[in-house]
Amino acid sequence: MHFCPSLLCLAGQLTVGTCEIVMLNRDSSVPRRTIARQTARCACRRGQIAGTTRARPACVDARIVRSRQWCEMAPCLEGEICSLLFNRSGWTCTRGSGRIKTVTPLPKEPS
Amino acid sequence: MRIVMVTSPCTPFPVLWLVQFLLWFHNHGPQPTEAIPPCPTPCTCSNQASRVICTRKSLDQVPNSISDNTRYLNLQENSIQVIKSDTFRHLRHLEILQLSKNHIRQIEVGAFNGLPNLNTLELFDNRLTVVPTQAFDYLSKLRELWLRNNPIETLPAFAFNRIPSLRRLDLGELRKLDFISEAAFEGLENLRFLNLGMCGLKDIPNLAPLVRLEELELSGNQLGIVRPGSFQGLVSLRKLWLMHSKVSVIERNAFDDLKILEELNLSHNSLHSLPHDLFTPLHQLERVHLNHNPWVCNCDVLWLSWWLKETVPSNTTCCARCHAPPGLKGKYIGELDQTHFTCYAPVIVEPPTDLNVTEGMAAELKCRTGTSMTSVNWFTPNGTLMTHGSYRVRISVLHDGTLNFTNVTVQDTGQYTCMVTNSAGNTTATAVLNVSASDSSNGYSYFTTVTVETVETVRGEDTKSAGQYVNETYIEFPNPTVRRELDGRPGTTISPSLSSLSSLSSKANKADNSVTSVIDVTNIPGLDDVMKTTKIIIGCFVAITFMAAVMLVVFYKLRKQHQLHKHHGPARAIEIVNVEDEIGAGAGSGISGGSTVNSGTAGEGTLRIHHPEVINLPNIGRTDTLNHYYKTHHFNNNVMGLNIGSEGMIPGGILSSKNQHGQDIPISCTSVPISTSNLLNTSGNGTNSNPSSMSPPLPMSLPMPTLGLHGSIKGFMGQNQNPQMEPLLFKGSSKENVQETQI
Repeated sequence: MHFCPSLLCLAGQLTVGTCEIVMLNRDSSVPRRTIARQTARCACRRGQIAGTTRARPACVDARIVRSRQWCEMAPCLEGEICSLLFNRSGWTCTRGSGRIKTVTPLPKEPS
Repeated sequence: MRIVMVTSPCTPFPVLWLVQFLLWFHNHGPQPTEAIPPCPTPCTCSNQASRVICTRKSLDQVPNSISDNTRYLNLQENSIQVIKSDTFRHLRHLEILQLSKNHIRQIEVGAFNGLPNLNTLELFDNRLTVVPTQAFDYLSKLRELWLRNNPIETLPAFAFNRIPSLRRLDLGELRKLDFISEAAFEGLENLRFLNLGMCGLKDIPNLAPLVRLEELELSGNQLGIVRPGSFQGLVSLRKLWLMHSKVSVIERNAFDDLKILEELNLSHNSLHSLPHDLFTPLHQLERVHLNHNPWVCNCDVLWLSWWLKETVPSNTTCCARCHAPPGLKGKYIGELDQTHFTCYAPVIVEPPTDLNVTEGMAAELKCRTGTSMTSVNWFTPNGTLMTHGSYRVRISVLHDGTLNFTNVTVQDTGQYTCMVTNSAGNTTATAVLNVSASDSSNGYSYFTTVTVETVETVRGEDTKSAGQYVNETYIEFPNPTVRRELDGRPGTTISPSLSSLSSLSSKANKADNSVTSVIDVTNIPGLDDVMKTTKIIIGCFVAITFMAAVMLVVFYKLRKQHQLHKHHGPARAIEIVNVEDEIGAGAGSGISGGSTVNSGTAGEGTLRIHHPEVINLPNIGRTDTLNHYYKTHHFNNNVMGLNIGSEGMIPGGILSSKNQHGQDIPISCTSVPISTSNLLNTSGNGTNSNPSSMSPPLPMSLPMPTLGLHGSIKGFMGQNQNPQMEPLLFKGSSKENVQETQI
């Protein structure tokens, strides 16, 4: 489930089991807050689907995404605590230092 | 000024000097400002020294004293060996510098410094072994560089990168040249003419950076085979010379990149034939020199004959003559026609076969023909045409016609047709490539996330900001069902907060469901209130339930003991202690935990619940008064009862003054419909006279003082259910009583 460095993913060819970030918008205009919108594309094996593991795009069990039990795909970095958002609309990664990441997956992206 | 200064000490001398000065000035003053600059000794100068010619003067170094005005400097045919740094530094008008036919073997770094207007630099016929790349800095107007006939051995990467202005580069006759870097011509984007003739090249170097190259001289090399892609990038090339280059084979599609080629010279080579339709992509081609090649005239050159007749009808006899077969020897190709041969459509010797491969593997679809002079085209499933040399990342057509995949993908699946053409017609063969995604699902999946990351420096705010986050996210991506709920009933008792939420969510909804902007919802005051109220209600409910339970238990126990010790008056105090222990074991800290005794009011023994965790021990000094009070009023009250039932004791007078301080906890419960203090009041003295006990909720911490209520429950219970206890508790003014107060 390694992350595909862009040079090895020439011309949109992804090795099975790898992902690449195809879109990233970052807004840091507000101090102490960053809002990033990111789309990852993954070539996953059967039964898997694009998701997030350890804060990077990765293929995860399709069941996790369908059931929206986001924390089961270990989306946070080590040392962060994952908790599901209200209504399973996403998850938060909380670090002891007061850094909170709130991540909400959007509905399917029309590629 | 100087004169004035000098005058004061001694007058006669300066006056003389002044006169002399004036005289001198008179004689020499109105001189012309433009002096004719000196000409360097062995040289001849003209045009006011802007042309300096020093040819054949046996100079072994560049003469000094060359005028600043020089525009043209000719140092040809001398014996200069080294060009030193800054040699021409002052010649800022120099445009042409001729150093050819010397013995230059070294050009130092900075040798051409200070020549901003130099446009032609001639260094041919010298003894340079390397390209003096380092010396080319700052030659920003250099257009022509002549390096022909130097013993240069390599053309390293970026050899000419510093002179992008170059238009003409002469690298002919570099007979020692044996290596040309792939990036040797990088940066020469303005180059129009390149001479690489007579360099002994065995391969055509990478010329792709030369996008404006118009004329390319490659004659006199040893190329042998010209392959497709050799001229990749030369989209502006108009003239290509390949004479005397021992070319024996030109592969299919070798010239496909030269879209606007006008003139092609292939004379004096070893060509027998040319692949079918080699010139078809060259729409501008109008002059082809094919003479002096051993052409074999058969069906394979028939296309060339047609092409010549069609393209240069006036001059079909100009160039190529047949060398074989003997019957056609000496005949012009342009005069051949089909009657001379019997031609057959091409045969595909090895046609492609259907292939089943898994994704990521290499694959080959063969299409081998009997002769390489046919043309081969592949039609791919998506309709594109592939030919030899056409550039795709993973797919290529090899010279033998094979379609080669380095790494198939599922998208490559489909029918591939190869079409082989010669002058007699074409033949096709089709095969199906089936790529299966062995262990992967089809295609790609996407995952789009919006991440909001904050760093809170103040730890105390963490919880607050987290709450805020939930709000934000919720608003950004409203769940449809929740939204409906919220919109559905905006008029309930807690409507203010909910409606504000729903309005926010609908706002977010308008923003296309993928809002990246964050709506700041720092405080929704209505929601807080609702939460508070709810908590109070729950807390009080629990309290009441607990109260009832404890009441029953304690009542039962006390009653039991009372019955046991009914007739043992003197021993009562000790017995009480036992009772307390039992209660303490049962309810434990639960009873005492919630109660706080305000030390300021401790004299009166008023118990107040401030905070669930804190217990302040009362000042016990005046327990006498307490006892007295209780005794005198025959008020059957456990001291605990003071917690809540304080209002009930107003008639006692002692406590009344402190009531204002002691209201916190009872008041918190008064906001609840069934207020605990209300209950107590009514059950106690029933006066209910203190209006503050019914006051609206005061701001207080929400974690309910349920434990405090336990205490009060006990008191309440003691008040009502156990009137017989009174004598037991307060008969002796001893420490035991006080301890009980703490409980």
